[in-house]
Amino acid sequence: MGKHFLIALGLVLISLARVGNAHPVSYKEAIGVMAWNQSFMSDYWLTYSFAPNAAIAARGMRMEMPEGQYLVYFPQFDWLAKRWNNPDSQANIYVYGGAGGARLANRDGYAGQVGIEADAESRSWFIMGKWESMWSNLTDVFHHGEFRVGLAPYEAEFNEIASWLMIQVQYHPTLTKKYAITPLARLFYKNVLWEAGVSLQGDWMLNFMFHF
Amino acid sequence: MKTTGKLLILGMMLSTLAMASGTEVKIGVNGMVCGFCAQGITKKFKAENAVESVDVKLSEKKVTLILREKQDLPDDRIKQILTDSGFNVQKIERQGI
Repeated sequence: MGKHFLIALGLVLISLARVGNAHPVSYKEAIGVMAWNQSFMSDYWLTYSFAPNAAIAARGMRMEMPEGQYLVYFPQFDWLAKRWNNPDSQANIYVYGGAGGARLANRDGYAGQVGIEADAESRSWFIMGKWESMWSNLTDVFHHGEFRVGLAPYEAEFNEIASWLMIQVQYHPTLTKKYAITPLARLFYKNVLWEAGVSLQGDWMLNFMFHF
Repeated sequence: MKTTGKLLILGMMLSTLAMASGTEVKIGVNGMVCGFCAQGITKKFKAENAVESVDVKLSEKKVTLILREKQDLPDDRIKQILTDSGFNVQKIERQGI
């Protein structure tokens, strides 16, 4: 039942990706720095887009599990599998994966991870879904599903501060917090993006991203 | 004779002004819905010697370039820059300014 639910959820998220917005790969020769922080999980990316549809990344993650703190760090390859550029919207599907070191409750090991992300956006709405699975010799398979919808209260021009209101739903059954529903605000100006929110369970979230 | 001289001077002045001005290139771009994502466009075009200024208008789905006098940026190069930035060119229009 659980497995079928996850497969169905993944298919729904992928099918929603008719149009989109993109983080794992940016414009050619762009360097991106991304940091997602929540009380139960952090995710840091340093990416270099060497082609319009491909990037290499150094990634580190922190996850709070019942056994203790779980840290993973690995090189990653990001691939923009498909992009739709429409007059008023854009959509993307990304696939990525990597393998490297892991540490759980003072035990060292290794981990490998794959993920798929699909997003779509116009200047006034945004939708994104992703699924990641990570294998390690230290613990059970880690799954992470995330879904977002957002609306912009106004359509910002290129040199104006853009603001968004979003709701994020996360599902990660092996963490201390199995799910989180987080209303959040996103602001960006030029090449810097900030997000902040608090989940319905009271967990804070603070994200930051910029590219140059 | 006097009138001819004045016309010649006027003509020279006008031609000098025409040479001093550049070209405006208006580019229709598909997929340009987010300023954060479109940053690469300004960065890439500003790196081109021929480009004096870049103006991105998300609402019009348009990028406007002002080229330096006596300089040109071929359509193929414009398309390449926008493709590398992750977007598609819809049309390119040029006019002298």
